[in-house]
Amino acid sequence: MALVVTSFEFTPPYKTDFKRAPPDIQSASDRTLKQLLTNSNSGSLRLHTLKGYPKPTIFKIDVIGHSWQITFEMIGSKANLLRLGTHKELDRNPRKSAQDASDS
Amino acid sequence: MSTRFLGLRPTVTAGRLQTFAARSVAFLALVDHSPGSTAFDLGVIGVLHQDAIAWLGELEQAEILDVDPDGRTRDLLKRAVQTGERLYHRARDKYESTMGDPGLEEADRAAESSSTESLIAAIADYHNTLEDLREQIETRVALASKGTGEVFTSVEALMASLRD
Repeated sequence: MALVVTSFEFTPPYKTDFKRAPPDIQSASDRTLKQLLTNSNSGSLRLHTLKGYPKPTIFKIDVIGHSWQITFEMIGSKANLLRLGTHKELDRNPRKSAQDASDS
Repeated sequence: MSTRFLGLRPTVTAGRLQTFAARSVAFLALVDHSPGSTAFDLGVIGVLHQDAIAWLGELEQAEILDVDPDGRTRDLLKRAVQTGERLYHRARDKYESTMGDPGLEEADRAAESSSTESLIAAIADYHNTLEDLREQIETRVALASKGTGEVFTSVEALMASLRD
């Protein structure tokens, strides 16, 4: 999947998320958005569409090198930034997690 | 109790979603604050999870964007997620303790660890559905909000405005 992004806008919730994010995430989001501008097809972004919304043009990318993500809506070639956040998943298998812990 | 068990499909409104979130917090507190058996905890978590799945499914079909105008539902879901994480780690500790208990007969250890594994899986599934739901709501609220109207063609200018 590739998008042509030529400009950005942000929503108040995005600014709130940005202000609350740690400094390293803020810096990484800078690099991530530059990557989106130059090559949205880059594997490091893991660009994908979000389903289950009234609008079909909602996308999510990874903040490069972190477990955080940026959600945005495409309006023409403008990316309207919606959210900067994390999505925590708990592992349902305690045996696997114990093994992971002992491996690390 | 869950609308699902009354044979009703939840219709998404901000008020109903907030009621669902408050109910989730209340029932999770019941599990959190009572010594409870694993079977009881599994039963409550199972009902709560089915309720959350039903709401997530309805929300994904709904047109409504401003589902949480005062932020209360998001606060309640955050509390529910945090309680879920606490219950998860408590169950994980119990599992580790059972596996390492030399005083237990093998059959007792197998039975105890199996039921605790089921509880850990149920809490993880429920927690992860709540996170999906929380994300749906956060994204819808952001979609409902008006942009600043300022368009940036450079990331440097965008970052300067965000840091302002």
